[in-house]
Amino acid sequence: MSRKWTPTCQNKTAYAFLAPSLLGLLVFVLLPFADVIRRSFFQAVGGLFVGMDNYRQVLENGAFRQALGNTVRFLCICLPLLLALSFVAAVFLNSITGFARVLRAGFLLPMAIPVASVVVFWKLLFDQNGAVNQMLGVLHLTGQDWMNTGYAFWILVGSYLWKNMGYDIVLWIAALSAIPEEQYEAARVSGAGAFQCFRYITLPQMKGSIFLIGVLSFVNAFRVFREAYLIAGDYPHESIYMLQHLFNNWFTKLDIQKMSAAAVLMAIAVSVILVLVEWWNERQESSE
Amino acid sequence: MKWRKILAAGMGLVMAAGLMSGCGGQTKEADNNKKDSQEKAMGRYVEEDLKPPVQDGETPVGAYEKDGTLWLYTSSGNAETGMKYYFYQYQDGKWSEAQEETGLTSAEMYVNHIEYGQDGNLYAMGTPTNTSEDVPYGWHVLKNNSDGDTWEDITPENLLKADESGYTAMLVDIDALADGSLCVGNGSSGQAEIYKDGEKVFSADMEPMMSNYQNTICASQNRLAVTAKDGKSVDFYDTEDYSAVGNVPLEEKGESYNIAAGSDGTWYSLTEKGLIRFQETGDLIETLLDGSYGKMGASEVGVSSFFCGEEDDFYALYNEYDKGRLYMAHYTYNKEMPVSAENTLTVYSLKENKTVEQAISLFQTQNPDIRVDYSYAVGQYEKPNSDDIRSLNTELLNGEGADVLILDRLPVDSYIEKGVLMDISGLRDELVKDSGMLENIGKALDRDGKVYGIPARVGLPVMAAKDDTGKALESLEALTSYLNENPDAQVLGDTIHTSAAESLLSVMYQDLVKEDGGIDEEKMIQFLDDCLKIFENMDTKMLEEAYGYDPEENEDKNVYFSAGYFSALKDGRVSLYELQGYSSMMYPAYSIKKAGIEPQTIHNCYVPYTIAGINASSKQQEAAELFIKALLADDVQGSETMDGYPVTESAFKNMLAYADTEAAQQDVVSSSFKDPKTGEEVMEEYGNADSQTLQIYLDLIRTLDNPFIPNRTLYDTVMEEVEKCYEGTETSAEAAKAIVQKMDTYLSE
Repeated sequence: MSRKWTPTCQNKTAYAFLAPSLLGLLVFVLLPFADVIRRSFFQAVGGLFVGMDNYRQVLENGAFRQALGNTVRFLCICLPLLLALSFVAAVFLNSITGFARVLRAGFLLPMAIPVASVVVFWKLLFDQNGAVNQMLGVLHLTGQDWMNTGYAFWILVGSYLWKNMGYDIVLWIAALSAIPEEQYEAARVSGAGAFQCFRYITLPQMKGSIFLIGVLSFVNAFRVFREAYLIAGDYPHESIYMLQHLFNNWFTKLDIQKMSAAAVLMAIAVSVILVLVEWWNERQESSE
Repeated sequence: MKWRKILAAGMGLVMAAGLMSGCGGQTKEADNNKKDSQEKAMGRYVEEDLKPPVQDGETPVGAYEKDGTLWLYTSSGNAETGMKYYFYQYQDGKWSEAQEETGLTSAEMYVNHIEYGQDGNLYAMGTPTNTSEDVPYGWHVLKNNSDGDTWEDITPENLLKADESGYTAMLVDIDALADGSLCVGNGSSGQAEIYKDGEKVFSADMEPMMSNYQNTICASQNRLAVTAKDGKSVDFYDTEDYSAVGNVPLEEKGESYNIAAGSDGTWYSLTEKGLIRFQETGDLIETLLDGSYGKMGASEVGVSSFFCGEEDDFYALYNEYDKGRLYMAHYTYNKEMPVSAENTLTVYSLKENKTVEQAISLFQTQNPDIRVDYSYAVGQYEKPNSDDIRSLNTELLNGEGADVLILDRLPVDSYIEKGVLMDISGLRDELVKDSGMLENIGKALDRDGKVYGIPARVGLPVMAAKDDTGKALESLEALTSYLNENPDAQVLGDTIHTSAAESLLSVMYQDLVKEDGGIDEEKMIQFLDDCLKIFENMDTKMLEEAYGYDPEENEDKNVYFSAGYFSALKDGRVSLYELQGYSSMMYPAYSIKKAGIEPQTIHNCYVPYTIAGINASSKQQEAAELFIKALLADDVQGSETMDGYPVTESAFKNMLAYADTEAAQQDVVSSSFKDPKTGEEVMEEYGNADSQTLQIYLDLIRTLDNPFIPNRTLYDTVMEEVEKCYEGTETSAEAAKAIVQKMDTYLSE
């Protein structure tokens, strides 16, 4: 069934209200991004057109490949883990009643803690003279500089999960609350147990929320750079050297042309992923 | 519903207009045209150098104006030759010859300030050259007698009374009220005091000051102005009943406010920020002349006297400590001078730079139509970080970067590669030819025949050893084999581990870094092992405890080579120094000379500092070139800012001439310390190098051809890992691996 846009008095009013924010989007996002696309075809300074040279340089760049690999690895590990863990926690929190529901708010606390404090906390734990090494010392084990080894990656994964769990839990709980209680009651009357209720009522109705929560978690995953940067600086251990580190360092060296080309490549990659997910989501919905 | 639509449309329009206003489409040209069409505001104070005919070695004591004649007092001499005082008169644009102030000379005092009191008498303060029963130890106040030739000691008795520790009051300022009462700034008690007939009749808190002379108090016909205890405001007291009548907060200053009383109840203050007019009610605070337009804004100057003239003009007598001379400034209102300069030249450096500040002062005087806007990211002794560079890069990419860039610690090669910097080889050649710039130093930023920066200062790394230990520092291999042969050798002079590591890294830099900028892991392990062995042999932990080393201290000392700086040369130890000017070579030159050896250069390298480059997109390229010329002018090159040697032959010549003066040779430092290792009390007295010694070092500078501009990322990474090795949380192999990994990432970017 094809949809046809018809101008009405109502949508004119809606566009009048939308205009300021659309204008803001245009001025602060779309136009700057257009400038980024333009810069990706020029030299950093001087305005000399170089065609696809910057893209070629970026794709051949060892640091870019390393940072991209780390970022993809991080996303592939963190996103499924986060979605699964937060979903389990949400189902559990949704099932409890009474005062214990206050626990829900507790999961949001890490989000309220400023990044600087989080960093201090991680440093206290994982520094050479930090709590972890001291505990190992008590057990007569040798500690190490955790952020300078392969463990740094898993510390970063833990940090991301800890900080974002609460937010995803709230989103899952919102989705769970939308399922009418009557459906569970009817199922129970028909003799369904807790697992059947979960399998045949809860899970199918979560499909629609996975897209939104997944996208938000994906976007949040890029913010983990702040923690990595504040803990380990411009050049952290190679396992946590992310795209944002590279972008930051390129900017320090005034390599704006490489930054722009890499940003365009990233935008294309992210758009493709989102389009594919959206396509999959719509296909799921239409098949139902 | 119609009104809703109108409202919605209206809101949309207003918000859109609001957004648009932030990004106005008016072009700069249109803006300039608009400015041009408006009438320029004219008239402001200007500074004039009165150039008194003083001789070398004369230092300022004070100045005042009476009946249209300006009187200037100076002193010369020392404890051995005795002090002599001179005065000069300035009238109708002419200076008189120097006349000796025999009264003061015969008083046998080290007079450091003269003040003209509200009672019309002249007062002087100082300490006796020789104490006696009649002239006891302490600060004395002298009053010029009515005969004009003799001076009477009018020091109140209680100012000469010694405290429990045997010290008498230290005076920092004097003045006199209209009734002849004496006002003193008592640095010991931190109070401004008034004495009438020798008795203290009033005291009030003032800003604590303990240096020889600070202009903290000032009397008018009926008021006494005192710099308040917090140092951020001025308190006023009625001189009739001594009641407090006002407090005026002023902008924070570096040293004194240098207050002067106007004839109509208005007050004036002279600080590095400028010349300010204010009233005791605080109703009016107005900047008459910005500090950047005059000598007051220069570093390394102190104000000896500041007072109002008779025609809405002002005088300030400055002591240029670094040049060992005085500067008599006259500030007059010039109605033809634009209120603000028509053009602005922007200068940026990552760290505050004293040489640049000196150059700005000179440039402003030479080019009053161009205002210099100087900005920097961090202070002189702070460490800049990559965020500071990114902030600058944002401006550079927008075409808004400073016209003159001081390239110290900036990613110079990236800037050159991106075309940010202008080729200034023509300017360099001109400076070498006309200003006598050292050709070798001018090549510091020579890339493929083009020059992108000109250093205005240079650091001279030298090493000294009594035996052949210095050979151990020729290469990393030599160091390792020396340590294998002498397992207990500490190689370097006593120092803390960070300085030792930094110095060794600087010495071995070329050995460790491959041609492509990468690091040889094997060599890095060897380097770290050698460092750890040297730390152990030197017993740095014990030394650090004795020196009170604070690992949290984050001060940036701005030197790359420093080991055994203040310890005498001993067998089996190499002292490393990075000399940054005449004053900085006092102890090193003394100890090297005492040991009877010659200083040696390190890999023939020099450290270029204050490297000035011009932004290729600058619209003020001509002015920027003039500014670089100002950086290399004699006036700037000759100032002792402790951030490097000058880079011109004429400055070398002047420095050699100064080294032979009495003033330079009388500058003696005595130091005593307990050697932490032997427990021995060491007392030493040393002074400035003489011209012969200085010549040796200046000759060395002329021969250097290897600019040392290390990669800061490598430097910081190595130091970070050295720290972990030192604390024992990492092995040298692990540290080397981390360094190599990080540098590989850096290079692959």
